[in-house]
Amino acid sequence: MANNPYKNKVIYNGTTLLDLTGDTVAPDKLLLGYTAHDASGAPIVGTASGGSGGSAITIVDTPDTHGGTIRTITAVSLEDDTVEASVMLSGYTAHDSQGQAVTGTISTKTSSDLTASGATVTVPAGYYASQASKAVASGSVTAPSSISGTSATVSTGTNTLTLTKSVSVTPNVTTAGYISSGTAGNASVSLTASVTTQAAQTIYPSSSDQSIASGRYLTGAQTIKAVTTSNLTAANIKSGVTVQVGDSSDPDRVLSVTGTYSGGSSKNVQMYLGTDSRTANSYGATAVTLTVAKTGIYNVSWTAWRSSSQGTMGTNLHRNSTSGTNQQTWTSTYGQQIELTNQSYTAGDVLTLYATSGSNSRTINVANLIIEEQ
Amino acid sequence: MAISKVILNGTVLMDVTEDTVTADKLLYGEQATGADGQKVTGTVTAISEAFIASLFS
Repeated sequence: MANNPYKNKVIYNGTTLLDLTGDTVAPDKLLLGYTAHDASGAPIVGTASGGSGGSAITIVDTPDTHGGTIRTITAVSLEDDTVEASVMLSGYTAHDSQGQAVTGTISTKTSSDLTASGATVTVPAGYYASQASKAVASGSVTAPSSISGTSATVSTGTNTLTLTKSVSVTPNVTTAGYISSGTAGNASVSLTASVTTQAAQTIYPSSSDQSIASGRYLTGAQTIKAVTTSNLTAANIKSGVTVQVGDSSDPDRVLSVTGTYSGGSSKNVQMYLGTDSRTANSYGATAVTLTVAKTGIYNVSWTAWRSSSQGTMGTNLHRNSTSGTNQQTWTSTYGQQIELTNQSYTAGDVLTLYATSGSNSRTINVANLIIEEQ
Repeated sequence: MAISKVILNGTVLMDVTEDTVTADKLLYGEQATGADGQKVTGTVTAISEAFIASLFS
């Protein structure tokens, strides 16, 4: 008795007031969650769930009206139950899958539980049986009278309003249809617009490419002149020679003509039509000279005369130098036409007339040196 | 009348008034004292599901 801290029997003046000593109740004999005192007087809580695992099977016998017994068997499986305290409302109880009693912890909330700080409303976790709301203070802002830059912001509380400046621009459109400049509708904003123009001009084709500069508004017609090709015909161009007008990379170039003309050969004729006089008593060159332009066989002629009848005089035609071949020696007392035939000259040869007036100092005239290719 | 609580000189010697045990919460044949101080005999029989299943097999 000394080891039992509980009381299990009370006898007063020989009368037993309360006696638990005969009780057989124990936690495993009492259904889960129910309370009693066992035979020792110790308080106990029932743990019996009946059946195995998370199930409860109970048999309850009750007397019927005929003196018999009605046995009611109830089997409830708890194994699939998912209930736990965190998903149940506070104050409600149930049994979990292991048959353990659980009591809900979800608190019930109302609008009075909502709090507001500025524009933020805090909604605590919990169960709201009906709609909840919380009013927040309204705010207002005043727009600035002017905006520096492109935008401005105004704030109240945690709200920010951004204002963007809009400027209306009135362009100055010329009668030609382009914008020469622009002015802004707001005096605090400066806008400048301009367009580079190109007046009317005429472009003449040349041997090199020409272009009109980019980024320009053309205020006048840009005229590119045509190429005259009226005489560029095959008959006028030497046979086999191609004359092209326009760039070779242009499939639509103006013209490309290959000549067909094969006309006859030409003859070279050169003449010195001046007059030169020489007064001397010895042999010497005159100013009458020619440089042969084309190699060939030539007929040659010149004229010589003396100023008076004063003895024998003569003219010689030299080729390239005084030491060159003496082409003709002529002596006469009168003027006459001298002719040579079948003279072979090479282009670049220099022909010079020489004159001699004999032993006395006399004057001889030479003129009209002509060479004609045969 | 059954006694469910005994107080001696202000000291509670025994108190079963808060117990929730009843016959239908106590296993069949077991004895306990109810909150009213009356003796209670259990009427609940706990058996396994396998046993119940065997009854209907």
